[in-house]
Amino acid sequence: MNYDLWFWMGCYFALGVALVLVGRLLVKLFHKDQRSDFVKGALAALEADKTSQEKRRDFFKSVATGSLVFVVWPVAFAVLVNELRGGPASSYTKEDEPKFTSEMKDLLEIVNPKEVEVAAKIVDPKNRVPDLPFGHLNRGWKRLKWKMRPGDVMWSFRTSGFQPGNSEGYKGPQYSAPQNVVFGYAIVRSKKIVAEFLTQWD
Amino acid sequence: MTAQIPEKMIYKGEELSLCDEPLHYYMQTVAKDLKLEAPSSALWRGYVGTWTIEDGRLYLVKLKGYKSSDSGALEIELGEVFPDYPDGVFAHWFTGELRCPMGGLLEYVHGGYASRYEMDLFLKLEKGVLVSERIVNNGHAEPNAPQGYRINAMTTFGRR
Repeated sequence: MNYDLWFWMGCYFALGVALVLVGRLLVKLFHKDQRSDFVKGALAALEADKTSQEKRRDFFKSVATGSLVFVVWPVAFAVLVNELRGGPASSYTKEDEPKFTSEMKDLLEIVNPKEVEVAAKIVDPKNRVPDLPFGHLNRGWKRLKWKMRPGDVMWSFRTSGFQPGNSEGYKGPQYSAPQNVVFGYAIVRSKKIVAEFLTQWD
Repeated sequence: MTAQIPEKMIYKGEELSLCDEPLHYYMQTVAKDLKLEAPSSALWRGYVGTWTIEDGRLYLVKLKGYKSSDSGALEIELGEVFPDYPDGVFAHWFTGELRCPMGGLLEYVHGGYASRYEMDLFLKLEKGVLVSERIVNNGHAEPNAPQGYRINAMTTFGRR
């Protein structure tokens, strides 16, 4: 190999070492270890319990990984930057939870499903609605009742919606009342809404 | 967001644009299994409904929608959403105000139903029954201003 190739390879690895060190520093500064003290303690205890053979294997693994990082440092650095930008990964997100239109603050009063059903009859002179509780929405009502378990409580609710036009210089539509106001019934289990049925909206 | 194609409202024999979506939550809840598909960026909800006020009541009398299926996008009509009522349904679930813009264009806004027109007709309904109506005057348009609701641009999505 000629001198130039050695020189450029040296530069490549030196730059890699420098960037890996910068990366370590960035991780120390921005990536907070969110594990609890209990978990940290348990991990330390597991580490202490390792046999000398396991420790040797871990050491060689670290050396092999480190060497690989120095060889392909641009990839490692890109992954690191991406991780730091994306924030700590979490296996649990709120998106896993079902979303409801109603919130606990919207609940009005506890209702008896049987009484609700009796009061939910809809009449139309043109017979363009089924003769069932909540008319065209009956399927939703049936679904809600089906989800009810012993101990659950059914509440009526009304969302507060929002009133457009409160901001200065607003030129949009002049609705007279708040928009997106939704009425319905919700099933509350252990102080949480677990199901809902919308009966009126705008 | 692109300006959205409005619903249609037939009121006192006049066909107006309806810049509200009385069917929104029905499609999101009771009919959510239909899996509607947007044919363009101007129709994210995937359907256009035709509404009418007859004898002081709000009825949905026509619907043209698009749903996704294994064999591609399919056009659907009212009977698909309300199988026993293909000719019209009483919209007893709607309580609130419906806005129908009228007259010349004052200001075009390329998003939602935000464009402004000379007048807004507001129909107030209670459980699908018309309670009152009012007209809000928003100003005077230029003599050569476009009349009626319009959308300046949209992206049409390819069908499989």
